[in-house]
This record gives sequence, structure tokens and C-alpha cells, in this order.
Amino acid sequence: MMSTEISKPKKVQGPIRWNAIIPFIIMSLLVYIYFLLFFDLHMKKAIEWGGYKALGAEVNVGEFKSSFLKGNVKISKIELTDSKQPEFNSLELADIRFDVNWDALLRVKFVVEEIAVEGVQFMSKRSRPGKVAPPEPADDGPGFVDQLQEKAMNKIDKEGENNILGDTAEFLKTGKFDTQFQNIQDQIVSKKLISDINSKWKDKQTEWNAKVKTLPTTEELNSLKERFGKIKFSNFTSVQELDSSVKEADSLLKDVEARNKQVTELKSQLDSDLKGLDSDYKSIDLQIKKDIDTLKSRFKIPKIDAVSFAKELFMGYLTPYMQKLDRYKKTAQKYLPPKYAKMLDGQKQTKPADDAIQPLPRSEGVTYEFPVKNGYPLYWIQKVKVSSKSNAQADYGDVSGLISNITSNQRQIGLPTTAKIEGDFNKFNVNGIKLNATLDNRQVDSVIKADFAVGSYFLESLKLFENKDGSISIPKTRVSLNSSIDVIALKNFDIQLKNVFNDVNFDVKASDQALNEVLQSTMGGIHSFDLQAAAKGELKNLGIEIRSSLGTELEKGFSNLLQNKVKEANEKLQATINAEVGKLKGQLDNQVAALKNQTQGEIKKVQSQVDDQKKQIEAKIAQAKNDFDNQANKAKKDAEDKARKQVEDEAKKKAEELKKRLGL
Amino acid sequence: MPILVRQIISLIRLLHSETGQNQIASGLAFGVFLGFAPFLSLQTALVLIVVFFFRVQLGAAFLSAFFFKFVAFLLDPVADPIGRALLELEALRPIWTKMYNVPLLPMTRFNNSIIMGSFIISIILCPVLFFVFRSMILKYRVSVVSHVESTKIWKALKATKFYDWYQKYNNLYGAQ
Repeated sequence: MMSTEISKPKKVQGPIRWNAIIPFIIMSLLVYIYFLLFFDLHMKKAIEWGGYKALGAEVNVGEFKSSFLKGNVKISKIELTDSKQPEFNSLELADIRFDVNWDALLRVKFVVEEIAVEGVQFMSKRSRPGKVAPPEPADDGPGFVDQLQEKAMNKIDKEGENNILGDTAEFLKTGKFDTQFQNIQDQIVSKKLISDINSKWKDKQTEWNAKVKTLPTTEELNSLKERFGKIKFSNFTSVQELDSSVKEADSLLKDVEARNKQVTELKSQLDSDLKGLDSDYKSIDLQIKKDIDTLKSRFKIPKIDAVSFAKELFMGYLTPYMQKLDRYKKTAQKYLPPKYAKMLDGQKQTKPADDAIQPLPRSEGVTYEFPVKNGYPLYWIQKVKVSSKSNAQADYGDVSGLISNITSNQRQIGLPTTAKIEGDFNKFNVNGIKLNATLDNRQVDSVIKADFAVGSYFLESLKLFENKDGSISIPKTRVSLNSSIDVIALKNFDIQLKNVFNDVNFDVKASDQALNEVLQSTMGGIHSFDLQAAAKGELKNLGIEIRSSLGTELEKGFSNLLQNKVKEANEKLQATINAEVGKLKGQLDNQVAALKNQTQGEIKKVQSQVDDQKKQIEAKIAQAKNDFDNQANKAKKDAEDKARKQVEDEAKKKAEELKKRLGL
Repeated sequence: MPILVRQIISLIRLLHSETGQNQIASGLAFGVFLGFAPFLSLQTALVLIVVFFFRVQLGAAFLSAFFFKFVAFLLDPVADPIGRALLELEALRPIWTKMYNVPLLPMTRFNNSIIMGSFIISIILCPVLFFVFRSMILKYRVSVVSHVESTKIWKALKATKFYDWYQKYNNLYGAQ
């Protein structure tokens, strides 16, 4: 058998690797198919999932449509479930459309020239109730609601909450508290505080007595005097004598200075202790005030002032707004970059990056930043145009507005973020909505300013007060709202709110007849009133104020009826407290006076003695040095005169001899 | 991973064939680029595209990249001052600013002193090393391979059935 091997000529391979290009094309096709068929669906799901996580309520997107090549996106029918009423949407948008700038995308930046938002609806009915996330556990810091309750209401105990009518009715019935006032000893916390402070200062007195004993004694001071007397300060015969006297004086001076230092240190310790005393007195005064407030609340002595009326009546009305602010704050803290979230907590802000060219030190090498001339910030939405008009098909709100320059770097574009939106929602009888807002991040401290106003809207069944003693409610009212918020460096807040309630007819009921009459006569004539609320300061410690013309009217109405009685009760309470704590306070005063007189006097006496000695020694040393200098100068002059005279005599003598020799 | 193993086997085979010295040398030279450039950068992507689409020996490129990553790390103290000098040169400032402001180029991270210095080193080394590697491969084939092939052990191995099977397998499924 013969086998013939036909050797095929080996195919010459070209420079291009075709067997790699074909898989690459297949991969590219798969990516293209993904973007064509699945990308939009996945984006829709991502928005829904992210929205739910961020807002805590279901978010639905009707359609997400994007074109990679054209760089445009259209999102239709966005529904944000209202977490309080899940069968409604808090916001529904018919369409959002925008084009992405390709030039910016190639620089890995996201720039949109204009976003069009159309078909804005609030509280639209959902096809099915939306899912609402369970409430998150409360955080450590006090929220707006807590601050409103604690500060604005100045609540001492929960029992007295929202009971202005009850207190007044009770007070009208009795108004006499003599018996109750006699048994309040145990309820006065300030008594215990004063007693504690008293014993603290007693201990201090003992401590200071011991310290005073460490001060230089009269014997010690006398021995220093003796040493001083023995030192020679004049008629020095030699430099050595002067030197040894000066050394002795210096050593004495050092000893005196050491005593002086000891006395000065004790004096400054005493001063600082006495400063602590001031704060103790302040805390006593504060506690006495607190005790009086507690007892007023316990004995149901009503506060007949406009501010108290306003606070108690509008607490319930303002709480939901504060809850919303709390929710916004939490969301902002969750999603803001850490440095801004920290600022919301009142922590120090980090130093902003300088625009100048500067090397940024890294673990590897140095990264240089060159000036950005025609570049873009990381993201920049130049315009968001909101336009919505009701039509026959849908009852949208008539809203128009422009939000400009939402960006990651305002300093780069040199413009602040602004928003101006106006509109009406006739479906809800809400007219004259105006929002003007500016966010300016171009300076070191960011500035946020926003004015929000609603020309008129209707409120129904507004309950200002309700409990077993009676109720105050407004069946229907037309309200206008003006509010503003100024925030500097995400730290200092100034929130103002003004509501004017018009076309008001109060529905007033009170179980006590006298009270009912006062309320009817006072409120019957009120058909319009305002409510002004303000919150200023840092988020953790806002100063909250609530005022209302209704409070002023009620103050007037109740003043005639109750003023004298309340005044009398308050005076009696004050007198009782003064009697209880006065004795203890007197003891404290005596204790402190003794400490001041004895210790301060002793220290002062020793210090003046030590100071005198020091001055004497210093003066004597100076005088001794002076005397010695004079003595030395005189000796020098005498020696010079003597030498000169000798030379002159010698010269004269020589001249005589010469004359004789020459025969003159 | 199997692709990488295949490529390395292919490299060994190619090294012992009579052709392909340019493929191996260019692979090793491109590996210098890959080793000196940061993994996530535009230049790495470009070099990878070139290496994939053109008949450059991938195993050689990856082996070389792996080796030169360590060299690059050792040369950082040299690359850093070179990069700084270039980036701080007043005359080149307009070019850097321009590059910083055009699309895509900032993705090379050229504004980092070490990356810039490493790039310059790899630009200089790449053509030089291509010729060095090429001549080394040729020398290897002449001196080492021919020496091994002339040994009795190799001749004995070549005479075995196992070697016949390997040859047949290689002819049928050998790497391209």
C-alpha cells in the first residue's frame, strides 16, 4: 500500500485577526439589541425602585423611552404615591422630555439644555393604592415637630397640653388655691437644687480654709523682713562687697516672688470659683421659674396672653407642616453628599476647592488641574421648563415656570440655580401659587432663598381645639399663605410663614357657661385673622415663635373676665415659692458672703504684704546700685584730679629748673 | 482564562516555529504600554483594541504587561519627575490646557505626573524593545532551539508514538 501525503500550502495569514473581529461584532450586536429591547425597561424599573427607596412610597413610570444616537429621553406618566393617602398621587407628571448634549457626554459630563415637564397634577386618583414603606426608626436629633412641641409650647408636662378651655373653666369655678399652695413643698425642685448648691459651697468653704492656711504666715513674712534688714545697701567699700549684697538681695527677691506667685495663683482659683457661683445662681433662678410654670400648669392657672393662645390653638394646625419638613430634612441627609449632610447637622464645612491651578497631592504622583475653558460641570441641567394646561381630557393644574442651572458646580458656570413657578389648580380651588427660589453655591457659604405663596385656597373642618371641655373649629375658610425660607451655609435657618384666614365663622362650644359666653362674644365678631410662625437658628436648636391676631383677640376677651383672678393666683404662687426657697437662698448667700469676706480678705492682706516687701527690695537694690555708681564715679574723678595736679606740679618744677639753668 | 492559557501555549509553539517573530516581538512591545498605563484608561483600551484586532501575539502581550507592571512600579520615582517636568513646562501649558478641555482625552489621565512620565518611558521603550525582542527571539531559535533539537533526548522523543500523536493533533487543532 502506498500512501500519498498531499501537503497543503499553509495559508498566509494577514495582519488583521478576523477571528477576533467577528466575536467583537457579535458582542456589539448583543449590546445594541440590549439597548434596543431592554435598556428602557430596566431604566423604568430602576427609577421606580430608586424612587420608592428615596421617597418611601411607590413611584410608577408609564414609559421610559430613550435614543442613544439622538441622545434624547422621554419619561411618561410619572406617579408619586402620597404616603399619607396611598390611593392618591402626591404628584403626577404627564411627560418629561430632554436631550443630552453629546459633546458633554464625550467628556463624561451630563449636560441637558432643556427639560420639558408637562401635565402637572397634584392629588390625582391612582388606579390602585400605592405601596408605602414602613416608617423609619426615629433618629437621635430632635425633629421640627419635637422642637415645636418642646420650645414653642414650653410644655412642662403632657397633662396640660391643648387644654386652654379646660384650664379656664376650672379656674373660673374655683380660682382659689390657698389650701393647695400649702402642700407644695415636695413639688419644688429648686429647693433641692439650692440645698445641693449650699452643701457644695460649704465644702468649698472648708477647702478654702485649708488653702488659706498654705498662705505665707506672719512669721514667714517677718523672717523675710529680718533678712531684708540685714542686707547692706550703702557705703560699699569694694565691688566684692556690693556683689555679695546684690546676690543676697536677689535670693531674697526670689523667695518673695515665689510667695507672691503662690498668693496670685490662689487668688485666681478663688476668682474662678466665684465665677461658678454666678452660674449656680442663674441655674437657681431658672429652676424657680420652671417650678412656677410647673405649678401654674398643675393648678391650671390659664395664661391670659396672646402668644399662649396662639401657640395652643395652632399647634395642631402646624404639626403636619413640621412633619413634612422633618421628612424633607431626613431625605436630604440621606441623599446629599456627605459634606453637605454634615452641614445640615451643624458640623463644620470642608474648605472649598480653589479655582487656581494647583497640584493635588496623591499617593501616586501629582494630578494637575488645568483651567476649564469650554468644559462642563459634572452635570448641568440648563433649563427645566414646566408647562401644564388643563384640557378637556385631563384636569391638570395650569402651571408654568422655569428652573434654571441645576448643576454640580455653580462657580464654573458662574450662575446660581433659580426657580420661578406660578400656577393655579382650579380643581382644588387653589389659586395664585408662586414660587421664587435661588440656590447660590458660588460663595464659601451657600445661600438658599425661597419665597412661596398661595393666593387663596380653602380649608374645611379646621379644628383648632377639641376636648371634653369644649371645641373651637372653623367649618370653612379661605386662606392665603406667604412663606419664605433663608438658609445660609446649610446651617442658619430663617423660616417665616404667614397665613391669613378669611371668611371665617367660628363654631364654638364650651361646657362652662361663662366661658362659652366669652368665647361666643369674642369669636363671633372675628371673620378674619392671621397666623404668623417663625423658626430661626440652627436646625438642632431652632427658636420658634407663633403669633396670631386670634390670640390677641382672645387675650382681650379673657382679660376682663380673668385678669385680676389670674394675677392674684400668680402672686400667691410666687410668694409661696419665695417663702419656701427664700430661707435656703439666704443660707447660701451667707455661706458665699463668708467665703468672700474671709478668704478674699486673707488673700488680699497677704498679697499686699508680699507686694510691699518686693517693692522695698527692688527699690533698695536700685538705690544701692546707684549709690555704688556715684561712689565709684567720685573716686575715679578724685584719682584723675590728683594725677593731673601731680603732672602740673612736675611740669612747673621742671620749668623752674630750666629757667634757673638758662639764667632767666 | 482558557483563552489566556491557549495564547501562552501558542506563544511557546510560535517561539519554536520558524515564523512569527514579529507577532511575538510586537506583542511583547505592546505589553510595555499595557504595563506602564493605568488599567482603566483610554490608552489601555486603545492598545487592547489594536492587540485584539491585529495579529499581535496576545499571550506575549499579556505576559509582557504582567512583567512590566512591576517594572513600572519600580520606575515610578523616575516617571514622576519626568511627568512633572513636562506638565509644569510653560511652553506646553497651552497644549495641556487644550487637551484638558477636549472630549475623551482627559480619560487618558495625562494630567497625572506618573501616568505622563510612564507614557513617555513606554513610548521610548516600545520601538527599541520591539527590535531587541525580535533579535533575541531569532538568537534563541538559532542557539537554544537548534541546540536542544540536536540532543539525543529530543531525537528519542521525536521518534516516539507520543510525538506522532502530538504532531497529528497539532496539525488538526493547532492554534492559528
